Amino acid sequence: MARNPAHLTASVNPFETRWTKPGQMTFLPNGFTSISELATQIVNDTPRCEILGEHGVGKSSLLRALQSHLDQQSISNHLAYACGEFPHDGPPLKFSAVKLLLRESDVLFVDGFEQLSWWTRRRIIAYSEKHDHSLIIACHQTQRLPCLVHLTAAETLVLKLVHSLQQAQQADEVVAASDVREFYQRFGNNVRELLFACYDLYEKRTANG
Amino acid sequence: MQFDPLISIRLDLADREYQSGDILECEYQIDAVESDEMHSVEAAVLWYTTGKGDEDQGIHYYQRETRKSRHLDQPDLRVLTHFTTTLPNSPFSYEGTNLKIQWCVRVRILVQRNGQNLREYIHDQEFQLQRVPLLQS
Amino acid sequence: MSRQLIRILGKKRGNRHSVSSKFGVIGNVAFSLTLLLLGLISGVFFLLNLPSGVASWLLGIVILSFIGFGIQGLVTGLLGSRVGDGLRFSLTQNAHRFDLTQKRKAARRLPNVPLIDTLLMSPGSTLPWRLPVTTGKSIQIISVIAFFATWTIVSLFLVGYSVTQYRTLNHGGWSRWLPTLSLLPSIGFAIWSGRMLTRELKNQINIDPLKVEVSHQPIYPGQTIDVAISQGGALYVRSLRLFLVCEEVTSYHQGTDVRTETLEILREQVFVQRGFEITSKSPLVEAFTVTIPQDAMHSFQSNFNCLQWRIVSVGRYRDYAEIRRGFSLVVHPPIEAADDLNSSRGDDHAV
Repeated sequence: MARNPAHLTASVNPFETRWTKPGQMTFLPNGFTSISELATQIVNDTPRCEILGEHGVGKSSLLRALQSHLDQQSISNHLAYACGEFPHDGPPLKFSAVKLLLRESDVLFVDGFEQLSWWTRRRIIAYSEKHDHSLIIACHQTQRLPCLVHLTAAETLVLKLVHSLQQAQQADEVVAASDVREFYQRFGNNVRELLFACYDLYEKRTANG
Repeated sequence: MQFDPLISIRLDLADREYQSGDILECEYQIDAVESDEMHSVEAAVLWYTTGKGDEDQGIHYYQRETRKSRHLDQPDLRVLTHFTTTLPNSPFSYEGTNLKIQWCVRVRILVQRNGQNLREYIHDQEFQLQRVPLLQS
Repeated sequence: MSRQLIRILGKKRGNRHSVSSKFGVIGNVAFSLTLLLLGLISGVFFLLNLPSGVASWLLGIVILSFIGFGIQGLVTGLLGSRVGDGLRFSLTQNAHRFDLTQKRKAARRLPNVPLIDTLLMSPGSTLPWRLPVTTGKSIQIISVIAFFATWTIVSLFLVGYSVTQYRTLNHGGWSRWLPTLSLLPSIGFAIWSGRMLTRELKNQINIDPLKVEVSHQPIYPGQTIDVAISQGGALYVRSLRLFLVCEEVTSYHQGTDVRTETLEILREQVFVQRGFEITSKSPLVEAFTVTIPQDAMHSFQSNFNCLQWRIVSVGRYRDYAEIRRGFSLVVHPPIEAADDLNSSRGDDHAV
């Protein structure tokens, strides 16, 4: 039975949604090119491209990391959300708003691009191509733009992620590397489900004491 | 090297365990920042959920002060500020498995340093809202 | 005295009827089913012999309305039969009294705690409050009806098309054989879905819903309440168990990724009875008590998370599938006002 009232010294589960929601975790590169090289590629070679990957694999975190890097280079940019910031249940972006953002910034990032309607997506891509605006989108399935990077969750990356989440909350290493390997076998690239499983395991083990 | 602003929050009860209908008294002040760097300060008493689901939040009390809204004789936003509020009947603090409900006093400041963009700093001071023991009629 | 199921001249005598109460339900279902089948058959003939011009539009609208009203009548007729007399009375008496100011006041007094909605909470016959059912089968019924309708249309269309092809002398090849080959599986699906629908109708009509009444609403942690259950019909019950359940329901949305998880944090058996018969002369009538744990958390509701209390019934019957139903309870934070304890007994709301 759940205890009430709660205790002030209650342990924090490092896998709660507030720590693992999109864009909350620091992006961990997976052995491919670095953030600065990706940013250079966007600015110089591939102004319109897409970042692909499954749920929870780090697309939003990568967009934020790229945005932060461009800020440091004083390159004007804007990060837009297709349906509002997390939990992405706001009204969808309108084409007119995207047009304005494309004109105003050197680089426009759009997170959750495929949540927009097919017609809006095609209009945005066609407009950016016609006027040579820089557009970087994050999506699960290809929108037929050149692929900047296809993020996958390698086992080493996931191990690093779980470790860093526990470390960030100064929690004990309740979820061990062997547990993460087992979850990785089960869930593969679906980092979201893997983190939910880590949450359940952490709760179970801390409840048992 | 520049330090981040330091936000200090103090509640009247040392054990920070309150009951429905109690009056929460809170003081806060800001240090390690210049007065003219302070843009605004907001204080709120709120609850939020954590756990496996999306976060929900409910604001019980809120106040905001800017340099313009401050009194002319005390324009400094950093000084010790006091407020009180009567705590509501619900929701209680709760520590479940997939759902937890946490109450806190949150102070959020916006600071502009050396012509840079505005930056926000947030500090929470958690407390418990307990149930009142049921009276036997 | 048992009443005839069907009687040509059924009469209403005061509050009594001279025919069984099931007559209305069966009549409603039969009428709606007839509408639906007429619509489906007409639709198939319509597609096979499409008229031209305005007539095709008008005929199409009429056929669609037959199908639509037939499905709607089936669903509401079956679900409406679950609505008790008490709730109907409450709805008619209270519908004009949308006292929104009172609701807003109550919501401010107990933020994020579900209110006792007097529109949906009907007075009981034994105890002050009858609990509304939270788990319905509307989606399941709609799916079964839609599945049956789809395969019936497909089968009828294939039959009509195959017959047309055979009567046409100039056709050959796949356009002649493919529809014929598809006949057997599609008719098989239609028959199977028809049997599913019959079983569902039988379940809904023959098994009266379990009624649960409580002595107090809202309830407070540590409080013991009286619960009365009743069920009519004609069936053999292998087992009937009731549980007090507390659940955390959490939702996670990330664009297209949506998941809702329900976690039971308390399940306590409060009633069990095995191997007994329910008849029209001896319906099930039982009473017991339920105690909410002293340290229980109150009911909580927010956009993406909630904590809910329910009484869950699990009934296993001979010749029928297992039936699970949930009845929502509202647990409030304990407060000191004596008038809240009075109203929780239903004194102000009893009819």
